[in-house]
Amino acid sequence: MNDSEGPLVRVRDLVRHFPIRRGVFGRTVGAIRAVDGVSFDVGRGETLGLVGESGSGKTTTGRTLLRLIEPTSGSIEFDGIDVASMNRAQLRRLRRRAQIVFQDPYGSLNPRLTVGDAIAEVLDVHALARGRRAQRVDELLDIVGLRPEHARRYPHEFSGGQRQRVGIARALAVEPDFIVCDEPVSALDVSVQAQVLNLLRSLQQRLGIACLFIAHDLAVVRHMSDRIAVMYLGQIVEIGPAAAVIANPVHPYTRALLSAVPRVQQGRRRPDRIILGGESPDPAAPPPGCPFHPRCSHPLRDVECTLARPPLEMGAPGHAAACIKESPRARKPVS
Amino acid sequence: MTVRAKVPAAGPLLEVSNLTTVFHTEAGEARAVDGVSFSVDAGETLGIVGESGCGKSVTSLSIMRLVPEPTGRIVEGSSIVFRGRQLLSLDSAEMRGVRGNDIAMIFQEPMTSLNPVHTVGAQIAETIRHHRRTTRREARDRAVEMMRLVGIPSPADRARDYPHQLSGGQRQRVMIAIALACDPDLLIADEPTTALDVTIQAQILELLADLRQKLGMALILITHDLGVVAEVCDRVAVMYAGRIVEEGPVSRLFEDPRHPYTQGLLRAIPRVDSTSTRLEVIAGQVPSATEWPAGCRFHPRCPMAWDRCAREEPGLIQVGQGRRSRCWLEAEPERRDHARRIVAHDPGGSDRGPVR
Repeated sequence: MNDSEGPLVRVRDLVRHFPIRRGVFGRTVGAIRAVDGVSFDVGRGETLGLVGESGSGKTTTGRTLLRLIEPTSGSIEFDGIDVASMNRAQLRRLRRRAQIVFQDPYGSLNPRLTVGDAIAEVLDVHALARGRRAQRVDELLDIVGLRPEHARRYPHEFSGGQRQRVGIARALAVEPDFIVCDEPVSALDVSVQAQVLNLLRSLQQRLGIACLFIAHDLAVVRHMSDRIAVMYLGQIVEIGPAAAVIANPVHPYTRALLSAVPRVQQGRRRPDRIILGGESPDPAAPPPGCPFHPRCSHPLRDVECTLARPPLEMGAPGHAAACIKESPRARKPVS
Repeated sequence: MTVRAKVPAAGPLLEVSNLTTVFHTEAGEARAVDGVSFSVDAGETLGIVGESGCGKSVTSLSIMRLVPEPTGRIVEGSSIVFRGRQLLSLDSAEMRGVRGNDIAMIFQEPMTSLNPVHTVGAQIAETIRHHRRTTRREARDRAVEMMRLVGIPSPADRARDYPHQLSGGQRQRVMIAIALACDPDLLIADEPTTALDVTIQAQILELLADLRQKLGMALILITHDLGVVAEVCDRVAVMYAGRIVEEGPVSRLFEDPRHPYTQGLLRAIPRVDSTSTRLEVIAGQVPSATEWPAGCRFHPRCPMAWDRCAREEPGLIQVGQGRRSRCWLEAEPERRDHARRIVAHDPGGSDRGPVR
């Protein structure tokens, strides 16, 4: 294992466009800008939460990091090595160190393999635990809170929460340094969701695994993450320490997102509630300038917002937002 | 709590008693809803909350008499009285009159409820003409008016769109327009915002609350999301394993939950403003409807359970005004104090959710 300095994952100006094809010849008529210039680091053992609504590009970002989707441009470095230029042998080595846990474990498990075989398959692919496979499968089941006899059962015999534990066991089989968790609990009921979140958190801390935790639920992301990045229309609009982003959100979109989360303890109709107008724009035709300006309710919003895409600017240490009206260089708004 | 309808109060609008709905499955008879009783007053909003498999959706399908037969069946002895009429003894023609006119329903996934080959305007107009004697022209005008009411911009143009041309949020608005087209007294919304993004969910919940106030209709909101209930409802019924386990006014029930299941659920939700690193969990899994546990159905997962809970099932015990809890702790309150003392000595003891 390489324990050099610097972040484990380093992403710069990552872009992924999906071409829109029309007609019999599949002429390219445009592009969906799913990920449109995203930069961030994930430190060793750190959890970065990636939050955003559907179409924000968070899932594409996560998959591109592992080259499950090819990037259009930009750079991804894993432990100092460029992921975009890896050949097949290098990619195989990458997958021994970087894994993914999907939202729907049922869709990612082969229904004809017992759970034990599904875990052993990962060990075989990477030639791990030779000669002590069964023992290692039992260990992995134990780590995720399942019992050895579960190894002989098929995916359909498990509940959703248990299947997600199997998905986690498969990801852990290679002893990864990094896991992308893509909405790992959004298909689960509240009581089961808490079990899986606690499991992920304790494993990640105990084993020192770095994590990109992707979810649409801000509370879940807050619970899991050291830092949070908020995505809107293919771009990161705010990034910073989890506590700071939640307590002092800077970008108007982050504020609206936080305000939209229904909360048990606050009761009905919070007076300060921000209800966003409209809907997320079409990522094939993003608005000019700030991607959020058509829905933004910032008191200083003006024509300037439509001119250029605002850069991410650091306000408090480690906490950056892409809003020219909240820029630390701009005049403070008169309240 | 705040808004009450103008309709004179002569008993509740809807009274469900001892509702039991069973399904025949390969694994045996599933008692999906098992002796559920509640009522809804005119203009009131009741939340029915619970996890998957608790029976909340089957409850709403039963009220609409939409339980798929012959696999599913409402058992004799159940009663659903709407405005003094026993819905379970209506024939299918009479029941069709009730649906839409008196009680309307919206579902989680509007795309599957809309017809993909007709414009949304035509679908709203069709509903109106089905229930009211109007000309095509009047129905079409009313459809546009309904679309304006549910906040669809340039409704006259959008009325000519097909469902796939609209976003998820707009489609749900269309479903609400269809549901409200004939002025129902009761709207049942089954997970209406679950498929939507959180900022769109906020818009739809705001819309439902506004419409309810404007039109004075009652609302039953079925959801797994306690936060949604807290923001929209007057009263809430918590369901577990086919039964209501706790019921009461929303603010008091969430401030001071009585039933260990409700307490567990509230503690298991991650909160945006919380800094704790561990969530409390409810151990184990929701049981299957073909084999509900004997005694209290929550006792195998309950941190407070004692031998009585495994033997006898508690009824819904009155706890203060308008509040009920199905728990023996209400009959033996000294046990709650005892349990509190143990917890105080062993904080965070049992959070490693065992898997069954």
